Amino acid sequence: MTTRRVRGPSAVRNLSTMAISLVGVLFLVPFLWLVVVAFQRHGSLELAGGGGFTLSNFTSLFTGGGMFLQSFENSLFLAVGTTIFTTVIAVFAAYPLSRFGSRTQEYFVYVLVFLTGLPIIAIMIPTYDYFVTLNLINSRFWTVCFMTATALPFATWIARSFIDAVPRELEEAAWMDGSSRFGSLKRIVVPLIIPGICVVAVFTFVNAWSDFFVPYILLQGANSPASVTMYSFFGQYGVNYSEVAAFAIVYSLPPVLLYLIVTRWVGQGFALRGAVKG
Amino acid sequence: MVAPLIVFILAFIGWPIIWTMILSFTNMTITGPTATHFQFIGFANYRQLFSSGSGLVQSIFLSLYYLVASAYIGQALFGFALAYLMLSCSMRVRKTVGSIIIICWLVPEIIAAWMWFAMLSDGGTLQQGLHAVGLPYQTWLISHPMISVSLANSWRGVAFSFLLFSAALSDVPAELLDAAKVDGAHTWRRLRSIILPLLATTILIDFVLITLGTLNDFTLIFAMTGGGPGTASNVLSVFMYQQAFSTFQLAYGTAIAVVLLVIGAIFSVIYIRTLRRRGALNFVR
Repeated sequence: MTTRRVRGPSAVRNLSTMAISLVGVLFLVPFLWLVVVAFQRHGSLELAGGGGFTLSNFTSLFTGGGMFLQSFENSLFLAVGTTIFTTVIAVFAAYPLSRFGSRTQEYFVYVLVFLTGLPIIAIMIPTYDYFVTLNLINSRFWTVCFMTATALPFATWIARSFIDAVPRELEEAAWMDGSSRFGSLKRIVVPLIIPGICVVAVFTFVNAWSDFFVPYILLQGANSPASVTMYSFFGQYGVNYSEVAAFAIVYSLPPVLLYLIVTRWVGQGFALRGAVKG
Repeated sequence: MVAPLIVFILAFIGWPIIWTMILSFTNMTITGPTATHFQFIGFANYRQLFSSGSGLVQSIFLSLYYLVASAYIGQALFGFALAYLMLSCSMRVRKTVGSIIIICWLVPEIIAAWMWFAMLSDGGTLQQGLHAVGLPYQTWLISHPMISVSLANSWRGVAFSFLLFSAALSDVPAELLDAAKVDGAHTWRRLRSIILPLLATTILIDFVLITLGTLNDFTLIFAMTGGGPGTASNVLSVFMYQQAFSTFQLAYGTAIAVVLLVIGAIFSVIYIRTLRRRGALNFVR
């Protein structure tokens, strides 16, 4: 990916290296306060002070019980549940959409792409209304179902493009030997698209883990995930900034780590494909 | 095998879309007698929405401001500049800065909002930094809410455009650029006559996707300013939320949702057409 480069004279090279370095430093500035304050005893909005270095803000997240641990557990439930449902349903649906290229299937794919562009935020009001009517509100399971539905169009589309890349001849050989369609999907296609499945899974997990608006509308109280808990600290008087900063850092780690692992493994090009929705 | 997909989409997306349309013609509220016994009131919600003083015009204007400032300038243009400059930049710096930008993008949106909220607050790090060098600071979140949220959204979202353009730029044949250089084409000329035409589709896809993402962005603004002070940063998505859930006019909020859906649908169609032209939706056989 980065083999071809435009090599300019060294003055240009130094200038752009300096400019890019400056951008990098500026981009780090918002993190500065968060990271410093998380290790202070009682931090404030200011960098200085804070009463010395400590790790207790991090350890107390997991020992104190209560709200922090509970909201991590809820985030994990939503993200893992959504990821499993979405990945399984998407791979199953993507297979026929990739293999039988009839007109109907083609239009179906258009509908999927169309749905990836629709604003989920615009359907939250009626969703809230009908979740209340059917008494599905404040249920983590039904929230997972809703989040699965919103993740599916994009996940299926991506899964389909990975299955497209598996040569049909491989499967035909298996059919000759008496394998069923389901058998060839399981034994030939799935093992070959493991990287694609990972991209779909990681992308879905990161989105569900970070989602704020959907759980904010559909869940409350003890069922709230970390994003909603985090929101309750905005502009609140008497917030323990150090504790919240530690919480924010721990909550931010999974998406960052997962992305780094997956790009190492399947390459940035694939990861980008999985991220096309932004 | 497609059945579960269809069931999920019909139940949780298809029906809500239809229900949005239906509710927008009623007088449903969250509480009170009209919460359960609502009536159809025709186009009254839309008449109210499109009448002067409803706040819709201001919200559309603010959404456009957010779109141009944070998405088109702060993400697309800036992202392209970064990707282009990185072509002629030392490898180590390129990798490090690339990772920093991507991490900003991966941090959950609510955390990004929290960091910027803390930094721009009264007594926050920006104020201290400016005071340290003798400059005054007014709390931007209050005096310039749109600039504040646009900066935060550019910081958070630039990675997406940057990655898209980086990948496309690395596909531009080096021989082509070298040949142009030999023929005496300067940097600007090479950019305009070779690189930009080759990147046309990528640019279009980037614009469509960041437009959709930015118009539907809610969390960052809602958390940082809540649409305020007053209604100074009340973009469409926050406006919709407030009408539906803060003033309890559920049905009126759905009329705004329909406006958002229509805008989303238009850009989705543009997106499909672009992908089709590029062959990204083609069937294998």
